Amino acid sequence: MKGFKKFLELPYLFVLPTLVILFGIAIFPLLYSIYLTVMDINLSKPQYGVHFVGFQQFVELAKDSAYVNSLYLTFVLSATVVIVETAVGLFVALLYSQIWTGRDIIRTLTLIPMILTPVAVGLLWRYMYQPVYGILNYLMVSVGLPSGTWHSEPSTALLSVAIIDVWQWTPFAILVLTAGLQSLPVEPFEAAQIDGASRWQTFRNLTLPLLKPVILVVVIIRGLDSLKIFDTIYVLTKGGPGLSTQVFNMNLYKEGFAFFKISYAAAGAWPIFLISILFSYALFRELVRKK
Amino acid sequence: MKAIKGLVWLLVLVVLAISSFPWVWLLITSFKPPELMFITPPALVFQPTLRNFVRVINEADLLHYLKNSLIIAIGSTILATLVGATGAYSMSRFNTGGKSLFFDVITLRMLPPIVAIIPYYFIMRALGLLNTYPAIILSHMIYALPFAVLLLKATFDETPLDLEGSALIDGCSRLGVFLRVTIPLAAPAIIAVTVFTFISSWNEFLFVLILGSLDTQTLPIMAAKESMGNFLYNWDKMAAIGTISVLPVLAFVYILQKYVVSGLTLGAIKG
Repeated sequence: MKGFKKFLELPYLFVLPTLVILFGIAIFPLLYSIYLTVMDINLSKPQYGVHFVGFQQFVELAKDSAYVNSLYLTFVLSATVVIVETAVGLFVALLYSQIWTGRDIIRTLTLIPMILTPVAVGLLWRYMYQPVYGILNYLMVSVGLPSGTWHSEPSTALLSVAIIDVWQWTPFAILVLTAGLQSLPVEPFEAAQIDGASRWQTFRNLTLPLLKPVILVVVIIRGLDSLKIFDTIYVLTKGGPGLSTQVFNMNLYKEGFAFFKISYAAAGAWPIFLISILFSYALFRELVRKK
Repeated sequence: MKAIKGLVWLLVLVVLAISSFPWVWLLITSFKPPELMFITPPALVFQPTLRNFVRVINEADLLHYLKNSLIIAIGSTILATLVGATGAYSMSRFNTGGKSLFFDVITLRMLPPIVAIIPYYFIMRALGLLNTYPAIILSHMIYALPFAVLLLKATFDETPLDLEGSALIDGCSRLGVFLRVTIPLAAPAIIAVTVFTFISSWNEFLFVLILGSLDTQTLPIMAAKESMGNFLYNWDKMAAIGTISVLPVLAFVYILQKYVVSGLTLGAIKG
């Protein structure tokens, strides 16, 4: 009885809605996903019914070249966008740290791509990527560059997806790294200046090491978010041409909601989920350590 | 020194030009007459028209999707802010759940959506809730709620306890302290949560695509449906719907710039 009374006290009462909702919409579905994984449910073949298959789904997945390929494409896309966004973000943040006039307006203009509807962004780029009448090829040709095939050829399609993500999400790296640069201590930089260190030496031996925790946070958050890329691919290529942009999100979406291989899709999501837990743990440690 | 300054400004302008060109091009395209969409070279000078907007409102029932977008985004925002604020307060002041609950919350924020939506879809199907607002609003909580908890917990952690303490001594109840002292002090973070939750729910695509049908579909779904026919593109509709779906967000950011930064950077660092 005393335990129950304690439960009605404010701390528990306050946290209860959060726990109930998170359990209902995330924890319980994830447990249910384990059930889906060990059973074999295929909605397009209801006559087979539902039966226990254990880890059979994972064996099938490992043999499925489309699935393995989708993991590979996800890895390539994520690695590319994280490296480019962090590097360009750091460069632009350093650039911004050199200017004072108009900082607020520049910062606001910089963040705009991040808040635009991803579907609208994907469609917009599809319009700009059009080989014949698109504005990009027009601009490239008018400055003497060859025109690109962009999303319409397998060899350049994944790159076209990466360009959109870099365009939309480099601002995130810029904003976080700009804030990071502003929070660095001033003294070591003054000392370096007195000792006559060059710009490069200061950057290499002071800025970079001091900024490392912030860079790590950017890498982890962008890494995790890049595993979510779906909307832009859905409207740009739907995974094509061929399988050239079929990242695991797209692959599982098709398996689950076009072919109704529910158990198969649920099982296929687990490897990525486990990877994202590892990355989340790294992020958690960085965020807790900062305190 | 002056040469370096000039070079810095030149590079800043190049960055801003690359960053702004695509969305400016979207806005320009939305006022372009439909017959100029497919010409080479692209038409840069033309007589602006509102025909594209009129067409998506009259022919494609834009207002229906707009209504759904508003209901879902506003519902998500209210739910995430209320529940997130109380949950974060409890976790911050009483360390409810300790570090492990905090870690769980971060993990959920980072969950790939396809992982969550497959089982979620089946649960909603079993409950007969497919194609309803509650199912979609709750699905948006998968990201909105952890986000609200993380940002608000970080804010509450930094709010000084003295004020709350003196209010308690003055005879204010725990709940009264929360409502009259803590919440007003955390107002900037709460605005950031509100704005950011609204924007992410407004922009969300995959969950609505899977859980919704015509009755509950939002603007992003409409943009995807209307922009492409079987063999031809409707760039006029694409630009008009795209512009209408990004305008509220642009307006938000213009009005509330300083709050948006801390939201967008996940409170990872002080904006």
